[in-house]
Amino acid sequence: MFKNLVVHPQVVTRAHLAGCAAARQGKFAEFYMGFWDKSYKPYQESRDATKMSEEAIMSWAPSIGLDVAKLKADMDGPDCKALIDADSNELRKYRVGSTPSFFINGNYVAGAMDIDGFKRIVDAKLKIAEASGASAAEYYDKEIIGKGEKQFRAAGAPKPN
Amino acid sequence: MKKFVLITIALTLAACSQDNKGIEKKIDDMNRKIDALIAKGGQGGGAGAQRAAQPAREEAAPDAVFAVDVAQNLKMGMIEGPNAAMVTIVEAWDFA
Repeated sequence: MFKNLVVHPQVVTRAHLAGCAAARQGKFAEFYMGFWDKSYKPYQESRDATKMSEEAIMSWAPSIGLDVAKLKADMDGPDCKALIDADSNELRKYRVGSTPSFFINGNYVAGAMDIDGFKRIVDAKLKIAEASGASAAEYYDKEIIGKGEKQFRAAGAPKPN
Repeated sequence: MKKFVLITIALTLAACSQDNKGIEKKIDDMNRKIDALIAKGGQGGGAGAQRAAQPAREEAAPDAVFAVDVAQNLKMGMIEGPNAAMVTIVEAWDFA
């Protein structure tokens, strides 16, 4: 699951809107990988920020099967902006201020981690989930949203009742 | 001659004193500007000017399970993998 935290709004706000708009065409994963490969990598090589611009994105968007007219319309519509704002607000509630950051079944993980590190946490979470008796369809809502903490808690702070 | 030298020294010292007062005034002005910038939260005009000032992050409780709402992300398709899973990884991401 991907939550937008636009750390450099002057450079990549349109790219985040495009990511949301691509998601509406069922192509978020393709867009996400496409951006790193076709926009960010050329930017890194040239230090030319226009490689991450809307115009640059539109030049390669058809190659991953995106309808450019619909992409633009969704980028300019209210829903994607609302999602990005809501994501930022939700993440700030849990005091996330940098990327990448992760929550694995609600447990916060700061920064990047190697695959073995992820696997250890995922395996442990899977055991807990399987022991709960809940189905995959209901687990997140029932156990994480239903029983999870609704506000940030710092290390050392007591658990809420 | 001695009188002339003394007068010259006195005039030079007076001029230095005037110069120092000018420099001191400039330093005072600069200090006032720095204080005003600090009071504004250090909002400069550099590349990160639009970025919200971030407070130092407290470490999250390692045993906390945070109820991060993903309903809208699921609805909008901001997902990789199946819609229903026993383990959900939420990634806070950006493109830069």
